[in-house]
Amino acid sequence: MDDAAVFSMMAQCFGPTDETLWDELTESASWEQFLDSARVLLQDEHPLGETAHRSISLTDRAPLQEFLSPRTVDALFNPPSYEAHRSFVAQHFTGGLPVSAVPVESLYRQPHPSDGSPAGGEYLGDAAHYMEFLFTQLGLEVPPQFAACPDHLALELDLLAVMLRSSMNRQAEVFFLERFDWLTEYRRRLVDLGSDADFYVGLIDVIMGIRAQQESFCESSSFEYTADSVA
Amino acid sequence: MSENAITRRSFLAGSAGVAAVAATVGFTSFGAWQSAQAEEEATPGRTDTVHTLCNACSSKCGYTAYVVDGKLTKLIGDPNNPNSEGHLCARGYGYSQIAYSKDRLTDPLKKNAQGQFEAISWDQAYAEIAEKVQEIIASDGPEALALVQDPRPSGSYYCNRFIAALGSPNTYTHGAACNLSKVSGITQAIGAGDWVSDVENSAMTMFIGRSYCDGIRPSQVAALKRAHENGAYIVMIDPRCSNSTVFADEWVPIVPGTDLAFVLAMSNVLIKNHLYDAEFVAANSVGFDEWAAATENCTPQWAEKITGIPADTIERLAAAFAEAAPAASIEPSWRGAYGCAYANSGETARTVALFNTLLGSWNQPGGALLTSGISAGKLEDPRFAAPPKIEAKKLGSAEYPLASGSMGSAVYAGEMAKTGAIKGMFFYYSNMAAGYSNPEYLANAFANLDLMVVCDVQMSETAALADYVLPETSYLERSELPEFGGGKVPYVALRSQVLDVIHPNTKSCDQIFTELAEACGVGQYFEFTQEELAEAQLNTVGLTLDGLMKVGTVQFPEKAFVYGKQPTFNTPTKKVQFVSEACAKAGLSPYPVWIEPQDPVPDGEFRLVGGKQAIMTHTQTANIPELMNIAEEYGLMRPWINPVDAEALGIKDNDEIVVENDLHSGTSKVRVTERIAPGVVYLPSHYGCTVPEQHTAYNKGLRIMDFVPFHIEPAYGSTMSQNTTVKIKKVGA
Repeated sequence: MDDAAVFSMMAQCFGPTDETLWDELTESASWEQFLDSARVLLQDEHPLGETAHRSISLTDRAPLQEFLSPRTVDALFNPPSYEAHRSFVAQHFTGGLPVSAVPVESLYRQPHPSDGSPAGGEYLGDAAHYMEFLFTQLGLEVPPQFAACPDHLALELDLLAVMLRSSMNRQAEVFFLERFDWLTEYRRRLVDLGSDADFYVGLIDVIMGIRAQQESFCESSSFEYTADSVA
Repeated sequence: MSENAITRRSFLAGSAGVAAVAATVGFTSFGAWQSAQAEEEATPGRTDTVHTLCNACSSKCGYTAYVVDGKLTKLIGDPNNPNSEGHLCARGYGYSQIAYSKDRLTDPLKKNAQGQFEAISWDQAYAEIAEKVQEIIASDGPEALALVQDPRPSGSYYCNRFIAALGSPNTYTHGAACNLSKVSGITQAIGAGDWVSDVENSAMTMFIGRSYCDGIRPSQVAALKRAHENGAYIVMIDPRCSNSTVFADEWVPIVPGTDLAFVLAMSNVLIKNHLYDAEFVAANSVGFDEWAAATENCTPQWAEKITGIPADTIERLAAAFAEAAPAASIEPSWRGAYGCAYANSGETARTVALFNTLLGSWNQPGGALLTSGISAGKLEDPRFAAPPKIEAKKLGSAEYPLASGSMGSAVYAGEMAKTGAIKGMFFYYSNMAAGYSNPEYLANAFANLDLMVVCDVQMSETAALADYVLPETSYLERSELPEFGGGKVPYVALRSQVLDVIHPNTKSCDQIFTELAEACGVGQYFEFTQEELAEAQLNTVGLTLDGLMKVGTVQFPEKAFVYGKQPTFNTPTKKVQFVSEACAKAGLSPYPVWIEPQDPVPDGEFRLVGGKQAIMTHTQTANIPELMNIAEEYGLMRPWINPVDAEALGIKDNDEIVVENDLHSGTSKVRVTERIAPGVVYLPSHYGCTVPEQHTAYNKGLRIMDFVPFHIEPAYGSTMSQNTTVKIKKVGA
């Protein structure tokens, strides 16, 4: 499974789905492939998208337990049934409830100090407007159900996959390192929900782990991930 | 689906061409984008302007919203809107942020077997609600359904039509916890529920419990300021020295709930000294002599013992009124001291109207003006015909016969939920469970319902109790029906959509109730769009929807109020009624007499009063961070007590105190101030939110209704919102 596919799979876990798609997504063979590929990415020393350069076999890789807690590893190896996923989404990926944990960047990021918005986040903050801009710049359309949240985690992961699939590896790297630091805050929110959220916490840990690995790699190389504009 | 399809599935249309596009235009990092944004602030992008109406309170001030690249950036009051006159208040600016709030409801919710809310589809919500509605109608009849709403232009129309289409007469406004007694009492006297005090042209105006500078309507604040500058003598009767006192000549603190005795005594002075307009009274009223005889003993000395206002002050103020008349009046108030506060609120309102009659000030410059409004004419299109007339009477209309028919007693509906007479209730834009009466009582009452549906933009205490919560678009994301208004110059104004719908799974109230009606099998009464109805309504007054949208507000100067016009009193006798047969039938005195507001205050206890603050409305604005920041910075959540009381209890300013009675106990920092009369605790009405879904408001301050028992004002049906006492002590004392 290539890097793009790893992010696509995770995007679908946080986005809208139905029973057929969920069952296909978590079907054992494809899910195992996903976990194997994620495990490689968590310890790889090549930029995103350079799958071909990876030579160490899976058996030489450290197990997921090296990077994730036993609880989340267990949850990742046993993805929820569709009914359990549907129930979690219905209770937590909707707004306005004490147990809401909508995966939208603007809600977990301090707003731009110049816009006068209060602390604590609100819909359609800077992150959302940037994502809108980016989608437009790249000729992509925001699906209607994401109108309030173009900075939804599902779309950010999806865009990352699209860029990798489009050979925009360097741009994908910039995007990955710039965008996903809000997940620290979001992970805290999920953890508050208790064990029902372990699967999703595990996915967040995978993303954060890959990001940390990429950050470390970039810092030790000449990669300029803060470039303003990358053609 | 193949493995390949799963791993390449994308939510984004157009992803196949990304590489080609990126090769041409590049990719802009977040840092570069932010820099570009900062530069663009100097040269803004596309700006749209929309005339619309505020929703931060019931005034519905008109303003122009500026939207730059889809984002709300500026609000400017419309000068030709009679409520805003070019200005908005802090609530108006702050409440606009509800659109982007992280606490917005985004999907229809259903409470599951574990008592937790889950998002469901609109189809499922409609189908299940409709099934339950039909079950209730089949088992108990449509009269077992009720609806409570805080009136908004579209909400009023669609809610009333929906419940009428189902065959129920039980629609209620929030009035029982707002201005029901005031409107109903005044109606008994003069046949209309309100008047406009011509403050700015008056020689003297008295406000009883109302504060224009706290429950702000900008045009009223401006009028009060002009009155002050013009030399009008402005008097505030209030246990609290409100913010309006800055424009007043005199603040007269009064024992809460005794305004009736005060006005009776002023009337006594006018009558006894022949200072009233005998000619006007003789020509335009009935029952004066009976009432005059009944007030013979209501002397200032008598009233002093009840009100705490010195007799000579009462004498002086009455004489000043006589001197100033007819350019003088007591302002009608709204919720204030007698909108819904005590056992004597309706009768207080009736007496205030009679007092203005003694002054002969109806329709006189500077007096009390009986202005008219404008409304849509008859609509010929059969689609707009009303549902069949309902023979059954609204629940509560027999028990509280003086309650305004258009408002009804929502608190009685709550009681009927507890008894099981009402089995299904709908709430639109109403936080009844937190603000209408004792929250614990109402929660228990609503727990008895077979069906409870709430339509709102954020989770409220009421919504938290519901079986289904239907998420509405914020007021900035929807258009509404025209708002027809009265006043010196009648007008019509329009709420137009300012922002694109932010959360795609939210709907406007017209859409919700139309679709709900269809699901319930009464869709035939909703076979039109809101735009078609608005157009038809406006056409009857010579306007078009497009035309009104362009200007926001249209006034009708040809229908403007004319000073000196003979007042019309729409009472059964067509005259001012010093005696009312309806009041007598309802078990009251036919003419207003003194009624105790509440049981005597036990030793060591304080009368509790509420009241608005300038930055908040009810409980709906407390979750706005910008407004709550102001409340926290200035300590606005603190209860007020007088320094005399504080000293006696060893309490200092900002000490943590306990406020308690048999119903509730809570702690708060206290404000010790001479701006509250001794023996009284003022607790602002906006705080103490108990739903954690409101992240900003939750658990901040005390909720006044927790200290108020569930009880209903005889005959008038109001909640008696201040009919209670509390003890206070320093924490640890």
